[in-house]
Amino acid sequence: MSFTSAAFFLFLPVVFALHWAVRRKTWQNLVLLVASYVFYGWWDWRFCWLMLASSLIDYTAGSGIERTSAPRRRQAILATAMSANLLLLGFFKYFNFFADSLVIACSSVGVDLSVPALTIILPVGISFYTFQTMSYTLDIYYGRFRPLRNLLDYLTFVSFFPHLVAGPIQRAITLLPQFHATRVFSLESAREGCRMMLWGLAKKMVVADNLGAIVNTAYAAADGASGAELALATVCFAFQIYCDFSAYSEIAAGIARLFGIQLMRNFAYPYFSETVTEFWRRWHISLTTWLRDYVYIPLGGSRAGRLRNARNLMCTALLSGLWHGAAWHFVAWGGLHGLYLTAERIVRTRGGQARFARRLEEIPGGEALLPGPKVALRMAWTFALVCAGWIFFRADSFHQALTICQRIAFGLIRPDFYPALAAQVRAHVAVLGCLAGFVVVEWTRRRRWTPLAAGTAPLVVRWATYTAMLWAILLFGTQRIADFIYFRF
Amino acid sequence: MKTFCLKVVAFLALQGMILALLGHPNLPGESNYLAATLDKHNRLEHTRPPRILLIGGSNLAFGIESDLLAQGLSRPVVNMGLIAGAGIPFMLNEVAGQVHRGDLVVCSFEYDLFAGGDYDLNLRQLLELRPRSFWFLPLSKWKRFLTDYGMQILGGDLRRMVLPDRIASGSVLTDFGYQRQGFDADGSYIGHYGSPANLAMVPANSPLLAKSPIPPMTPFVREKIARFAQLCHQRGARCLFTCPPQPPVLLAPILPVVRANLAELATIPHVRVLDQPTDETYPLTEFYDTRYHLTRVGILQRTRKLIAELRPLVSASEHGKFSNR
Repeated sequence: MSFTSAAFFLFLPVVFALHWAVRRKTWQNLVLLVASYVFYGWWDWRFCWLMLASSLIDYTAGSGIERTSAPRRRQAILATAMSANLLLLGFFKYFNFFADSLVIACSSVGVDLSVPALTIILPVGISFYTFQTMSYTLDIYYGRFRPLRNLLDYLTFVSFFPHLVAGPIQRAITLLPQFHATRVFSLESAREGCRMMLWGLAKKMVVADNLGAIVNTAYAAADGASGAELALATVCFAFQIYCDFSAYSEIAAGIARLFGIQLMRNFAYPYFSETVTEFWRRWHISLTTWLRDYVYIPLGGSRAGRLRNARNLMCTALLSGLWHGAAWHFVAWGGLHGLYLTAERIVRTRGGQARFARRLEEIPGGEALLPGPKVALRMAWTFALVCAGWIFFRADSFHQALTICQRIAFGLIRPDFYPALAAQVRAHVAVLGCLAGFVVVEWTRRRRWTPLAAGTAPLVVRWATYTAMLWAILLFGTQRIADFIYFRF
Repeated sequence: MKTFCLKVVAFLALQGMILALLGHPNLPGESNYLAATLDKHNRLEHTRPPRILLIGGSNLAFGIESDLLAQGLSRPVVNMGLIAGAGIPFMLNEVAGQVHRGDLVVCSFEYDLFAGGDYDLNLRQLLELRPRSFWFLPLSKWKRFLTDYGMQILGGDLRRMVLPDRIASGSVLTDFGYQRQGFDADGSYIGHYGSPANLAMVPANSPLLAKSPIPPMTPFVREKIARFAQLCHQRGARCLFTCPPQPPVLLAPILPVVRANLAELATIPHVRVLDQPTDETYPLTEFYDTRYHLTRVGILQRTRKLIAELRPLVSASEHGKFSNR
């Protein structure tokens, strides 16, 4: 069930009413658990068994690790749980990718290998909940967290429907305690949740889905499209994926607040970053921090020498690419970002650049109402680098991505590129105007968690804003409703 | 909690008021062919029984002159025939709630519909024009429509009500080549009466004359018809079936399956089959633009045949002599 479907708008009030109609924590969790399995099973009820299996593997492993103090036995349990998780993920998501790659690699050295191609349906959100359950076991192993005895609380934590299929990937250490206590309704939290949902829906349905039409047209005919068309489509895709994915996270966080649950922040205005390093601090924060804590740091992080550090960065970035999709163009996307990060690390150690990579808590782009020329230039440069990466992410294949890069690169030096680009902009002036308005709103409201966060505006102004957004969604966001992009990961 | 709920209700009420103020129900002015569904339902709801209710696809819209039928039988006629793509379950559900004592319900389904098919696009179009018709969707479609199309249908409807025509894009409506205004008051299409076009003018290799096979009746469709016939029986109405028109050349290849389907139909309790497929064949010159759409000449012939078939039943019902078979 998607957040943008009519079914969901009927489902949510029912679950909300049931959840708050019961007072005890056990019943509240039971309502959420049943609702989450209904929500997930709406796609295909068979997926529920898989999620249950994944949950039980880590629940059992967590308890097993806790019960024993023998390091070897703890390691063995951890290794078994990780292998089981990765096998599930590997089979459903990567089997055909690795099988095809193996066949191609063998045929290139003259070995004719026959691997059966299986028709495997990718269960929605498998990457998200698998990583979440893995982090549960890992945290117990590292002694950061004690396992839960209450299976109901644990299953509710894994399956909690708002963040189930596209994150944010929550850590047990922050989310589980919230299921362990009786939740009390908070008016302010519920209001904030509604605002986040409204903003998220507007981003997804009005901005992302309308941009998607431009992107799909250009990328579907990439062989015949002009450089200008592809360049514009790539920029549009950069915003489409941002508005799509961050909207999901925001709606998820908003829904969670309706139930008295706080989810972590997943995006913090990433396109106002001045370096790629900063971009990754602000983009898909839950995955980035997951990879940092469970891959990058265990590999040695930045403590080892420059070469080892570069290797660690590259490994983490490649894994991030592979996590997104079982295809070489995703790996290339990860690799490209690995190169960016490594290059920035090298430049930084030579002095100078560190101050541009703002921390997450800092205001992106600085305090000033308008960015200075240097800040603006750095933001534009970072955005261009990120867009180059998006070509690999959006393309259907590695080969297509290279073709698109070539067309845009050669187009940029041709004199007819810019009039063609202007013509493209004119052709999509309504959607791009809406996008420009969105960027302005984000920039001016970038001090807040979400642009629609509560302010001091009078009630009339706030309600007028909410009304305008609701009507914009209903009138201009319902013409073409696409699935959230990250559902496929 | 109470405050929150009150605020949500107040906000939604505000939106309702805005819709009432800004929204102009411009549907009466909608000229799309399928918008005739509004007029047909209006007539269905406001015509007093006993009536002749015609249920089927466009073979009824383009196949019966309701005015002539009404005069011939001295009963009001409601011709619900509009588009075959709606499918049999939807068509039956549309009428089920409005069947009353004494009604003669005449079904005429396009032959390929017995396989249970329908087209989501046509259903979406009908729902965009008349959202209330959502309740007529078979249960098996609810999930998909709520998940995949619900918001689009709602959005399309609101755009039509609130926005000026020139920017109210994004509708799923398509141009059928016919107009809502082409229907008469009883629900029969007469907009093509002046046109000289007919299927005999179409090249022999045209897809319009393609001899496509049809599948047999599915248990699901049989069950739907059986339930509907039972309902008619319980309410003191009669459920009848008349064959749709076909050119002989196109009927011949599908005749064995059609006959088998009709034989199956005849076994359903409280359903009476009025005629045979070969009784409803007309020359190509009497077909307008498809194998189910008749020209005026064809329409008049078919209507007279139907009057002859129904007259004994009408007089029987007037004398309270309804029998099940």
